[in-house]
Amino acid sequence: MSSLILAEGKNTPEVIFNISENIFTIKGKSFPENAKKFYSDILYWLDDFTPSNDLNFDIELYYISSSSIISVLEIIRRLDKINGNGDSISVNWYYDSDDEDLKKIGEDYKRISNISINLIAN
Amino acid sequence: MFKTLLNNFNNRFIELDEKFSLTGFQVIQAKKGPWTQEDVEGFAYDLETVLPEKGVKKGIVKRIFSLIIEALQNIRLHGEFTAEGEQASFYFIAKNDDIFRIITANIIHKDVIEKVQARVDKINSLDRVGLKTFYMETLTDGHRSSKGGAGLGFITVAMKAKSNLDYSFEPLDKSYSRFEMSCDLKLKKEGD
Repeated sequence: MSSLILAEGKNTPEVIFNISENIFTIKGKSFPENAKKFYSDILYWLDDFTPSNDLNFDIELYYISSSSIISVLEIIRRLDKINGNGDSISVNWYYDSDDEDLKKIGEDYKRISNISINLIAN
Repeated sequence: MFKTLLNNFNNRFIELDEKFSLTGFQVIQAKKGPWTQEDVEGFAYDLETVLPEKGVKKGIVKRIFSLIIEALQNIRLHGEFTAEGEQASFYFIAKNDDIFRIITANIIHKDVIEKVQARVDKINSLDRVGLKTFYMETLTDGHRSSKGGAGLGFITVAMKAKSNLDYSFEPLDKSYSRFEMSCDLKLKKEGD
């Protein structure tokens, strides 16, 4: 399986799912008009992904629209499914320390998923 | 009909502009549609420059940025078009010493007025805890339209503004109305 690399766009984040280096990041801003469409490739990639190592999934978004919030939840649910009952995957949710909205979004994800989510203030 | 409709939007735009200046508001940004997605991004990124110059704190700048993206994408997704293919719309961001006021307007078909009104009324009827519960239910129910929306737009605007959503429907002809929505975002936290 090959890595998934998407360059940052004006309204979409940089996505690096580098299997050989075990680096998984979504970083930047996310407010594409059709988030469902943008994130579909990422979700398809995750459908075929079986991790061979423990991994930290880093999500660091400066802006996130409501439709992207739903798409990122879908990613977290995919990771949850891959993780099964194990603890090999954890998510680091980075947020701007003066952005309470971003912090709350991380807290919401934590409440509604089984995967380990660490909230980290920048 | 559609010329009348555009005149209605233009007249209301001028009326609101005058009203803001007469009531002690400073208009920060005001645009008439239609807009492209690139336009929407450009307006939002302009705010990142303009607002800090006016001494607005980063947290509020980010919140207004997100609000305007949410509101304008909502209009682009759901606003009706004129016969000439124009998505008649406008918005204002204005501030006084205490609040930012954001007003948006777009064309709406009479068949969806009831649904929109019911949704906004429900949002306005909820307290902060109730709104959060409604948000979580909508977030987790998994339903998404073909346009990628999931009904979080109005809820997000109300939560970010921390205010009710005032609205009006002004009939333009037998089928279409102007849908205007307004919310206020306080510059200071309660108790400051």
